[in-house]
Amino acid sequence: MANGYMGKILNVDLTTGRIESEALSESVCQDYIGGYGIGARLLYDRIPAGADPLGPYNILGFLTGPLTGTPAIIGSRFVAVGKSPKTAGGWGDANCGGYFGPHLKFAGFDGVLFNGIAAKPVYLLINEGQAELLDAGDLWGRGVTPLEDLLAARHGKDIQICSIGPAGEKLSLTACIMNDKERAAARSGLGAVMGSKNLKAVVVKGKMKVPLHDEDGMKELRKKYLKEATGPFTVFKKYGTAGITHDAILSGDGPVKNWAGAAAVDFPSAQSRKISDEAVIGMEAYKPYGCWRCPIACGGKLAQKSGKFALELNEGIGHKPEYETLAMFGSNLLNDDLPSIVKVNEICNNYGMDTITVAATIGYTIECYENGLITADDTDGLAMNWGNAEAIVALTEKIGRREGFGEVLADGVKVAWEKLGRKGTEYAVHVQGEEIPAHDPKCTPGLAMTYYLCATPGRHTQGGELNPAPGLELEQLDKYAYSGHAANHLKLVAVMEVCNAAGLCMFGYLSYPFQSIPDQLSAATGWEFDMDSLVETGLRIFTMRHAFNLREGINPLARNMPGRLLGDPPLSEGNVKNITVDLKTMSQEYLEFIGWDVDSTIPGDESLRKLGMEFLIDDMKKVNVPGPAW
Amino acid sequence: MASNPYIDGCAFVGNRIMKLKLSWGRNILFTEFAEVGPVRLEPVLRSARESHPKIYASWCDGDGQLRNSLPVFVNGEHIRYKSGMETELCDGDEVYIVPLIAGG
Repeated sequence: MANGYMGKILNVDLTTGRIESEALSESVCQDYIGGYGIGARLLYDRIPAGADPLGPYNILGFLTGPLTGTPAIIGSRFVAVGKSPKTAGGWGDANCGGYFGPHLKFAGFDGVLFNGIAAKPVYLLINEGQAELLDAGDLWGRGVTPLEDLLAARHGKDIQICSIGPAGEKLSLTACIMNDKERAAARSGLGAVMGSKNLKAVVVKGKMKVPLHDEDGMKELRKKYLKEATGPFTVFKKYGTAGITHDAILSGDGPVKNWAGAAAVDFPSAQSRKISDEAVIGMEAYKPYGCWRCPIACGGKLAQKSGKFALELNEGIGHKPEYETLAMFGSNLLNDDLPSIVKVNEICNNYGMDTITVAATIGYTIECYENGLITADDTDGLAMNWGNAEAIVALTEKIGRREGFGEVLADGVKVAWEKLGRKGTEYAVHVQGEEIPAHDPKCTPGLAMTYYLCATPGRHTQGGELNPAPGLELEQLDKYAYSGHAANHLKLVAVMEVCNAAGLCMFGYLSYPFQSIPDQLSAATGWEFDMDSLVETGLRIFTMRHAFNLREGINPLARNMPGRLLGDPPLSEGNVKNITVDLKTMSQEYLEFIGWDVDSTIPGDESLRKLGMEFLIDDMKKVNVPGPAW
Repeated sequence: MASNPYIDGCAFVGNRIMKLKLSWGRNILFTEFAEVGPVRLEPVLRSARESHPKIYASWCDGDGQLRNSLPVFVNGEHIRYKSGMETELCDGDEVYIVPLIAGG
């Protein structure tokens, strides 16, 4: 078996209770690396087209990469994969740090695939290569924090857990999969898939070692590259992602007033400073937190033991909200009350909900309320005005419980808009059901392509446009010129695909020289990686995930793209005013560049052959997708 | 008269100093500039080359030129809405450069 891998995955049929180990094909590993690369390749064959995402034929996978659990900088990640109930039944994945990924490998497996539906709630325990399904009757209904405490008391403190909270159990499309209490594999609604399978948790325990091609070489690379920290390292080390909050909002990257406002007018610098950098790490008992063997430790824990937003779990200690949470619950809702954001972070994490999705849904609600499309009669009496911190916290709790008006909002913006009679269409900011993370394409136009064309729409951890790796050679272009970006975009997309598939953290990619990526992959696996092979492999992964969608009849060009994200109409104030992103030009040039049809997005035969994906050629000829929206 | 230790080679004559704040994120590089306004933005940024070489280098491309894409804001407004590097700065202005935007 290839180095960097444990060499096997576990297949768990929840309907029958049958558990089988399966050897991982070396050629699949080399071609698709790991994580969602291998996930897309395997699930393409194993999930029948048209399967119900919440039904027995969907497969939920947890997959690591060859750098997960190794000395690589930073090999802490795993990816959850499956057919998404959120994005029109297309491909779904969600990436997460913490400790679960490395420990899944130490327990003996590169991944676990769950199919079927258990007759009653269960959880899977993997202990040193041995797996068993256990009754979760007493765990069902518990929040993530008490659940982890209970499982640690039952199986020992050396376990690692990923689980769902009550939101996943109730099949909310806001639901995510949690680990280490407050780290989230948040997107694509995969928490609901886990809930649909009656699977409460996966518990791993083990001390196995990941075999490496050149273990000494990997340790040397770690030493060498740790000395070369660069880019955002200093900011992330000191503040975590909270360190960019003020600057992102000021510059027009962060959302203001449900993507319709401008910081200068609606949320000026003095307000954004209240939910940014020093304000966040200045909170009581702040202490940095790092995922497994992370030299940056961008996370943090803090105390909020008193006041109207006092934390109720972990004796008042919670995780520091990430930038996405600070901006989406902050500037996006015109809310500068930091304790309220710390509180909603606790609520979302304990119920197991995606903070981006919940905040975006509340943003839609507030705009409907402020414009008289809904009233307090609809919102259980809550005055959903901009910046009303108490109402925002109360509504978040209701969404977690699917209670009252929370039932209307519990499946995100698109479903809420449908349930409310399609009121306020322009306020419903999502792409094919996925809410948008806190980065505005008007500030970084390349992001529009990622949000629109990627197999999982509306994602900031894919596409690589936000910030290239230090040392990655790109042509210097005017970002607002729109034409001529295809080659750069492919390079950025492909490298990010490989990093995600390899089990690397995006912040390692941003904070250390680019060359560390091929160097570490080569040392771990023994396969030689260079820029050309990274681009080819990344494009193969990108194509595989896309092929899954095409077979489901999904053409990304037929997706809705909110005008607010493109500046159509343009804003008249702020630092992205008078900008309208030409998504059509960028998309068509990119599709042509990678050899996909510019209308159907079906990859051409030749482009598939170049990637060694001939097996898709016949399938792609049967694809029937709608035409582009333009 | 308070001197500006960060601007090498500038002659401080009389009161030829203006209040001008240059920040790179949380780092305040200087609060005064050895000129009376108005002054162009570009030489103000270049004045950081010797005082803060590492920070200045991060603003530049491989050829040592200030990047076109450098996110510079004058009094909170992006310089694309002003006159870019030709923007004129006056007494009391604040120049702010965003170090990075990336986060999750």
